[in-house]
Amino acid sequence: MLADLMFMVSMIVASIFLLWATTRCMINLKMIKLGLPFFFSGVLLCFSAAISFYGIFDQKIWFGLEFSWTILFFWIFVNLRRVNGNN
Amino acid sequence: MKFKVLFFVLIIGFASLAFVLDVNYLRSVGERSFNSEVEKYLVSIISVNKERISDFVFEAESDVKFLSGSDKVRDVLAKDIVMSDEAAVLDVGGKINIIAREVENYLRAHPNMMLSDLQSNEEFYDVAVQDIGETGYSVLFDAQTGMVLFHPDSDLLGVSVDDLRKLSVNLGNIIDEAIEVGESNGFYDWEDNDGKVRRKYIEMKKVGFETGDGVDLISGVTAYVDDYFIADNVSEELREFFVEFNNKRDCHNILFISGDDRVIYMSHFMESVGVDVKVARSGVGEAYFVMENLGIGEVGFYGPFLGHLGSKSLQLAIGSKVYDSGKFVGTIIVIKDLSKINDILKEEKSVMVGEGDEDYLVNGDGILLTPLRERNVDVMLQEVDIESVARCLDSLEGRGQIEEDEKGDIIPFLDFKGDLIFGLERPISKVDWCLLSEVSAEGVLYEPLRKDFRKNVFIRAGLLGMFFVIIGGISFFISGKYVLKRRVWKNKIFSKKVEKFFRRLEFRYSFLFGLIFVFGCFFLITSFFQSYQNAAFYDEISDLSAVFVLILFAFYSFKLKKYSARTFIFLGSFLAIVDKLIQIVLEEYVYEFGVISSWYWIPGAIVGFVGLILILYGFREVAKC
Repeated sequence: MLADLMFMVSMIVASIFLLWATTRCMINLKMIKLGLPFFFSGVLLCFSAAISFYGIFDQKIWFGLEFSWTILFFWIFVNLRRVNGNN
Repeated sequence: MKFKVLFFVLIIGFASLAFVLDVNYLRSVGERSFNSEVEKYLVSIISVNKERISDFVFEAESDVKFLSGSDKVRDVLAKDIVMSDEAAVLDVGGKINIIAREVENYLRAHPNMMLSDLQSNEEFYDVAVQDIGETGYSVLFDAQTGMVLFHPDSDLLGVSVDDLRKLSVNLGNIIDEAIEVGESNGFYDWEDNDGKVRRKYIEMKKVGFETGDGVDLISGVTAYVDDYFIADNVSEELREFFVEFNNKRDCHNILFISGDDRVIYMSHFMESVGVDVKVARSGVGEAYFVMENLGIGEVGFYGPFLGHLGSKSLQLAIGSKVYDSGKFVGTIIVIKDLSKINDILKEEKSVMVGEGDEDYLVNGDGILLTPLRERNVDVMLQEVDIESVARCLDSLEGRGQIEEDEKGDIIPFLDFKGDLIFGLERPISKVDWCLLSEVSAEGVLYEPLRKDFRKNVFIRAGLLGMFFVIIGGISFFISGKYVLKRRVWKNKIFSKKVEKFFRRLEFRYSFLFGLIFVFGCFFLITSFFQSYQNAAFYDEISDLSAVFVLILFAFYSFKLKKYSARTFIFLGSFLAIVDKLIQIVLEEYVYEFGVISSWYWIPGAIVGFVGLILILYGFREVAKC
């Protein structure tokens, strides 16, 4: 029970931090496109916490969630290369 | 700054809330678990006890059925009866010890009562002068003079031993011997008021306590021999058969009662043999009244009752009428000691037995029949007035039914001593008894529950503390001001040569390395867990694809111009890869062996979150946002 709650708390804490940092970055410096994958990472974490809270461990949902991370990381990677001058 | 404070307040708030919820949840789970354990224990104990007691009753019933249909019993009941000196001696010999002790107990309880007080006291008279057999009685003499002090015939009160000797020389001699040595016995002839001379037997014994005014007493029990008739010419073969049957079937005695209500034979001759059963003491008379109403082939139960006055062991009478070619010839009564049942109920059956555990029987009037483990309470005297007994008695009388396989939380109630207990009850209908099993609620539930609760609070408080330390440590570590952003790390993690190698590494090679790595992991893990046979096989594809992208991240981090960004991205992608690999192994384990605690997922998840945040920081360094 405590372990489940701590797991969810960890996810929520991480997502709040990500959303806060990303939103600040996006609004202050108007770098919306670059911040979007991180913003979605925060949303994805919130979504995972909710799924964990309701105990929905359907394999298809988890497959979708895990694959979303691949897409997000790839998106960040592409952005990173673009910002770094495509070297 | 404000957000950071709010952020940490949120962490502490969430974690503390989780702690409180979890402790409460564990408490309710613990209570349900302990409650269910108590119920299982009680159901198991009472079922075993009921089965064993029912077996005892069933065996007794079978014995009586066998005997009532036996030709050997019919043979004994068909015998002629003869007057018996032996029966008179046994009966009088059995009674003298009891009555002398009863008189002594009364005197001990009333040490200040003078002889004159005792002579005018009806209560003492009933103790001193009791009926024996049909016409016998008990008397009290002065232990020094032999004078009659208590006697059913008031004409004989105050008569001296010399006057008695004139009526019966033998009696005078017997009294003299009792005065001299403290006890005596013998036969003598006695002329009744109607002039008829009858043969009598007397036993005398000095009472072990004197009256308030120092008068020593001798108790005497005398009976007419012609009150005692037993079966004549019972063969040695029959005698041996019944003795053997009695011993093998663990009986106290077997009574053969003739059609005219006389105990004409016993497997073990003892007190009351030869007498009219309706005047016999010790509960056998009452048992016979129950048996009188039985039909052909029916078995009746009576008891428990005290075998004789002063006895501590209870007995059960089981009887049936005996017929010969459809004609009633007598009644057979088997007497069983209840000590076997006491032994069954006294046995300690489980590790759960502790203070306050009781298994006992009550009769149809709610009177305690078997001794308690923890308290010295008198059997056959203490009434047990509690709700479980009431329920059980209702079910015996057909007013309700006890659901033996009822499931649900068992509710504690107060026992007859006022302690809070858990208890179950079962009726034993053949004998109209109720069997009760109880355990102390404090001992089996509340005390273990408190210990369990304390243990859980300590463990969880420790885990919570660790959680705060980890979160605090991570925050400190990734905070740019303190650790990672410092240039002191430059060339400390990788040498200049290594950094130069990776910086010049072409993208296609890092792509190739990533592919080889994930395929290697895939085959390694699947062969280890045989996951091609289970559904986790597909989950790994998504996880490993994320690992592949993160490997590209790690390699690419060396190409970043800003050093702090390079550190953040490399470390972040490395941690995220570790998280994904841990996840893959745990998923495989779950699919192979079953669900595991969330504690195993938390470390990997935290590592992954830190990795993600580090990547974000690195990206921010590159994009300068």
